[in-house]
Amino acid sequence: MLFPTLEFGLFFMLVFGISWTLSDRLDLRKLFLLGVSYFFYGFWDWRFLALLFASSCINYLAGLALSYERRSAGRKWIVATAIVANLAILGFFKYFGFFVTSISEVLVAVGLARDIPLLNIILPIGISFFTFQGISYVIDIYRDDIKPVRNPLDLFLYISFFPQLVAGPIVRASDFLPQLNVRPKLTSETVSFGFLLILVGLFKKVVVASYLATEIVDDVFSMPDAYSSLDLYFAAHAFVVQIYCDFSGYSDIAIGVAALLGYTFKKNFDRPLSASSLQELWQRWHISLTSWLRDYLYRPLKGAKRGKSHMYRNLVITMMVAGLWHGAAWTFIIWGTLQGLMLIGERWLKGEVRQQQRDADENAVPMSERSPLLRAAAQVSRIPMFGWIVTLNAFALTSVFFRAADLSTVSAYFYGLLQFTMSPEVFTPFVAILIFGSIAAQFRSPETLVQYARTLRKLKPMTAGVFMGLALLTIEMIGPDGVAPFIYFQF
Amino acid sequence: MITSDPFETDDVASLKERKETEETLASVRHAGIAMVVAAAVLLTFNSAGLQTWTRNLDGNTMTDRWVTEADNWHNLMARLGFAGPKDAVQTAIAEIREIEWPGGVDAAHADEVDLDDEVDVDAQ
Repeated sequence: MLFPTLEFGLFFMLVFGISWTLSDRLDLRKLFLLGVSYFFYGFWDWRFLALLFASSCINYLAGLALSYERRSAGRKWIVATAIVANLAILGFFKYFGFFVTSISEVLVAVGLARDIPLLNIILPIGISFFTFQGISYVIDIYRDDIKPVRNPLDLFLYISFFPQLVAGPIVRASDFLPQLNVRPKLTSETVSFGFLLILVGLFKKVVVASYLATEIVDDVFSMPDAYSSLDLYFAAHAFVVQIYCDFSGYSDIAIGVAALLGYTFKKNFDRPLSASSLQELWQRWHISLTSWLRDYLYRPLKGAKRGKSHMYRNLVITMMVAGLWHGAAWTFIIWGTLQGLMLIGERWLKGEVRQQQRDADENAVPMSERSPLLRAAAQVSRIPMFGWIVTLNAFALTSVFFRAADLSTVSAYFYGLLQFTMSPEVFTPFVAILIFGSIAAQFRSPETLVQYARTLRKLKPMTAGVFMGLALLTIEMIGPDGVAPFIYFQF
Repeated sequence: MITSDPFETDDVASLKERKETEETLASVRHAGIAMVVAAAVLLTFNSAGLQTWTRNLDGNTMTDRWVTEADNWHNLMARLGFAGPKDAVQTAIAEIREIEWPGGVDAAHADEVDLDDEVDVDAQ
């Protein structure tokens, strides 16, 4: 059941109505929301309900076991078992085929060809999201950051709550579980903000992401050698905007839907395409995943505590895992590694410039006698938005690895890009409006949506309904026919 | 030192809770009405979407009936002129999608045209 469909609209109206009639009876409300969440998930493939149930059981039991076990060794054993169990489920369904194929290719390359059995495993939708939520729950209990839940309903609903179940955001137990045990509240601000987020999310997905996919991205990435360098260059940027609108659109709708049911999710994107450095971009892109990796991988690896070389190594490991999280393919691993290497390069360069600048200032070295690096830094600092231009282009061009089906497509893509042919075929004015308009919208004030929500709040319910209806109608009318599934469903 | 109002008793707390409950109820009512009105707007102006949706459902006696009802509804909306704006907007969007860069077609296909000309000359 996709968000931008009539099915979901009817489903949500029913859930909204019934859940609020149960707002006085918390356990019954939770049971109802759990039931509809399982129905929502089973709508794709009911067979995977057992997997969702098993994942929830593992984490619930691990949480209980941790609450009874006070010995350090015992707690370590429990948390390790729970993490291994979670990762085993994820590994089997998501990575088994990839590892078997990779091993088989290595064996063939060294002349040890073997027939390794391949299983045709269907990837359960949302598995990466609910697995990471389960792991964070168990680790947080192990670290004594949260208390384990006694009521299984709480944990089962936390893992399966339908707005974030299939494509995030990855909600933290410490943020969500306390909300389940207080009477839900709804204010007029929340209602108007929730409606606006849903509308913005639908516009991003149905209009921008869908058109960019069908007008340029899908064609260019399926046959890069058939297009000019100009088309290839802008198709990479179009893909970045497409995936941003697709995924942040989903997050906006999820946050809006949860808000209308009385629950608060943290924001998952914060205008990342306006970032003027890669570090800033990664602090604003898929925030729930990057903060998860920071808290449960980068910091346990001792982050930057053991010197620069350790920090650089940990950055690459973390970004490589981020790549692998997105998909079981070498293209994703290379993409993640490249992000890590670029982050290292950026940090090194900034640190070096800062250091040399300090030394030069202390010794009052005139500009003409300063190092070439300092002189270059002074030159580029005069170019308006230099950091933003470099960041956006680096992110867009490396995203070719993310989108391409395989490495041969990547090489064809970059080969075509370096031919410097300038005849646009699919990079039309319409596509240019979508790309540049979406990027320009990233520079708006973060308060813009809140201000619009305040205006919407003042409308009477009937007027607000007409506004909502017309906005939905406009999105439906200007969007292309049919809605493709969200890209992040496959992760 | 007294850090809180000694007269803030259970009554004050319950009054606050009652206010929150009333606000929640009012907001739920507000959101519910807005959703129903929005659905009515969509049913009126996007009757073709409803028609498509019913036709994509698995066929059985009930859904066959829904298809008939959706067809009747769409015909009524079309007669009243409510289905027209959708077609007009979609035509406008299709036209915007077709816009080329100034001189773009000639520049982009210049090589192809030259090649075609050469082929024609050779044929003659």
